[in-house]
Amino acid sequence: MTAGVAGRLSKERFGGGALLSRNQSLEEEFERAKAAVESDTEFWDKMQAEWEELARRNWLTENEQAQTPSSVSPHEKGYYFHTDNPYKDWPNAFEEGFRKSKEGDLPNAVLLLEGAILQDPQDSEAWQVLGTTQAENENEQAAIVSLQRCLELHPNNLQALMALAVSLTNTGMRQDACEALLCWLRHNSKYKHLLKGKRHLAGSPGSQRGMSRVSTVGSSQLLEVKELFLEAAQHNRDTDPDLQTGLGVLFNISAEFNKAVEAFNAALSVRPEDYLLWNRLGATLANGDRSEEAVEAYTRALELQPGFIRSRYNLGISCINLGAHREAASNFLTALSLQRKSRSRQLSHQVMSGNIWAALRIALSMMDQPELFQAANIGDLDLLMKAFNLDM
Amino acid sequence: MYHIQNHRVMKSMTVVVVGGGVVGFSTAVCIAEALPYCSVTLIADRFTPDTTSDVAAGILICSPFPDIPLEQQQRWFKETIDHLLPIAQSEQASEAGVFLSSGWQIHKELPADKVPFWSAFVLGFRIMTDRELKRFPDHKFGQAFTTVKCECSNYLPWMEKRFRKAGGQVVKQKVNDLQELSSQGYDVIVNCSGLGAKSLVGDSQVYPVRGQVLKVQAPWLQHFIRDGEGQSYIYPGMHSVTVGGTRQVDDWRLEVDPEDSQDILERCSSLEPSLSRARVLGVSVGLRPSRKNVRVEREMVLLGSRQVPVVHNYGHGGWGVTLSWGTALEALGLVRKCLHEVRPRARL
Repeated sequence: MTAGVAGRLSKERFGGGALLSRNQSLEEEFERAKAAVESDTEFWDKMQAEWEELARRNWLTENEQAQTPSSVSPHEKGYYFHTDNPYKDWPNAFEEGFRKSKEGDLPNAVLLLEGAILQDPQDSEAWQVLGTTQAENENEQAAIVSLQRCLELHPNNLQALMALAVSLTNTGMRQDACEALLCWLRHNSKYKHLLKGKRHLAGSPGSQRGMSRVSTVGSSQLLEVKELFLEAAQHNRDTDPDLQTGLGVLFNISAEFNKAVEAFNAALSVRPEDYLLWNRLGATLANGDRSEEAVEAYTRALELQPGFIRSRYNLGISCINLGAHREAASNFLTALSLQRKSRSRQLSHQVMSGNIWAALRIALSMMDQPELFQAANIGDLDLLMKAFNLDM
Repeated sequence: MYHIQNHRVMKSMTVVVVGGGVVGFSTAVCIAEALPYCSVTLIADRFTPDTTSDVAAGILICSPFPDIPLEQQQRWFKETIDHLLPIAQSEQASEAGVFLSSGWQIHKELPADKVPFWSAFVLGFRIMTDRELKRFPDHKFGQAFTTVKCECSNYLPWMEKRFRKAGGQVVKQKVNDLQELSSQGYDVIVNCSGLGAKSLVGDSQVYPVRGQVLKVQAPWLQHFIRDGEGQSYIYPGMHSVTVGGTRQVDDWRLEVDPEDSQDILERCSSLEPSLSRARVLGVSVGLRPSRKNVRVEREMVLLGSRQVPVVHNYGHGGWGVTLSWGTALEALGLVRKCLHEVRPRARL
């Protein structure tokens, strides 16, 4: 099943070659840059301090959250709405937001979907699309909160469960991700029979949750859920791309990246135009130290959806790993400028992702151009766009 | 039902600490408190009161390791006592089991270093006067000082609380090899397994030095007495006086040896005659996780298909409590370096 799909990844078909053929020298360059950066302890100390400061600020905002800041209505606790949303009272905000999201205008899709929710906070579909759009927009915290809200309103929404499992995996919350996938099986009419006779897994979500808090469940639950998914896959006559996506996520959790690659390739054999799948394949390849192949997968995702900010960010990370720092920085800058196109009248830095800025700083730090690094530190996107000859 | 309850902060990196003794918990607390973006899990098969640390008297005294720069060992000692002194002087002291202890270290022969490398960090270090030494006729030389005593039967539960408060998770589980941890996807593994490192990472340089101690009821004793290199010692504690000891190299016996007990009581009674009238409350045995040099370093280990950074912090011998916080901070620095090298992860 995978051989034919692997063929799809051949270099010839996707171009990317200009970058890849330079690998040898880039690798050397990367090693040199890496050594230079590592020896610069002062730089790392500063970086560390900055990162910790960021984390500390997250603490603060998280704590403030409990006191419900003014921008958050009591019904939507935990999700930060844009304070100045031009689409607040927009008619058909959901339909238009959904369309914008499909078109890849993610920042404005977010505004429209928020508008739809402000008009009807019980609209579970709007929460779902907002969640998946925020994930594509490289805003994981917002994605998780939105998907959780969707599932509160509509607990057996399979798409939301799968999307939540992905977002939780990305943030290292393996146990919760595993649980979401178990829920996905439990609510899936095709597979719920597999849970019969497995009372500890089929049990009510509440008791499941209580149990998982206790302790050693971690690794054993992952194994059990993985086995269930594999069993389901064996019973299927045709490849179920959603089931394979779940398997891909589970193998990512257990760091079995080659198996995860197989699963996503299987899903792609059914849905070759699914840019989300191409990105998931790319991310899996990248996390399994196969950055060159990852670049090809991201390239495909971006061909299908040029506004896909997450994939653009991922492509930048792979460029760092391949030692192509200039290309990396260009990709991060492109992603940031796309986010800035938001029609929110809020300060522009509030619509851009912190982790894209952080990755940009890593790339710039390896280019030995302190003035650019300084510009990134103060968030001067215009200066950087100019320095990289990028259109605004 | 999917709400993120306990860990509201987004955790982007996962660190696992193996070992539930004083070194494991100190390291886990350091990491969890300093790196709030890390999700820290401590895994061990034994916890207090069943760890080697629980047998230790926990007095802050130390001999140097031969091949580690003395300044570094000094720093470890200083950082540990500077961490414990404020606890001893706070309202937490009794709960944490941390308090000041004064007494004497006495020598039959003039030691090579009249002033040990840590003398500046304990309180009121001085050479004993002849008048003080008079009661120890077999001893030529002595040092008097006030140091900290940290009793792990209290300290470990207190540290566990502190660790959980910082968002740490505790799992009771035997870890047979690092592969198990890697397959659970941890970004960094911290090895504080003490003697367990022999099998966990196949370190043949780590070996047990067996120590047997007695707990006796002698509330009239207020000063510790330590003979030379610690063959015999008397340490008054919160609930009893610890008297010891033995230093049996490569001896794996965890059972009490009655002959050792007899020998310990004789040796200690010759230093402190009133002990012969003290009631023995209990006897325990611990295996000091010894190594020529304590191992605090990091390495990349190939586990399955993945290079995983591993930070080692084990082999403290009898100085686990003494160097616990200092080596934990050192390990924290190494974990930070590992995290720097962990590239941002691609997102699915």
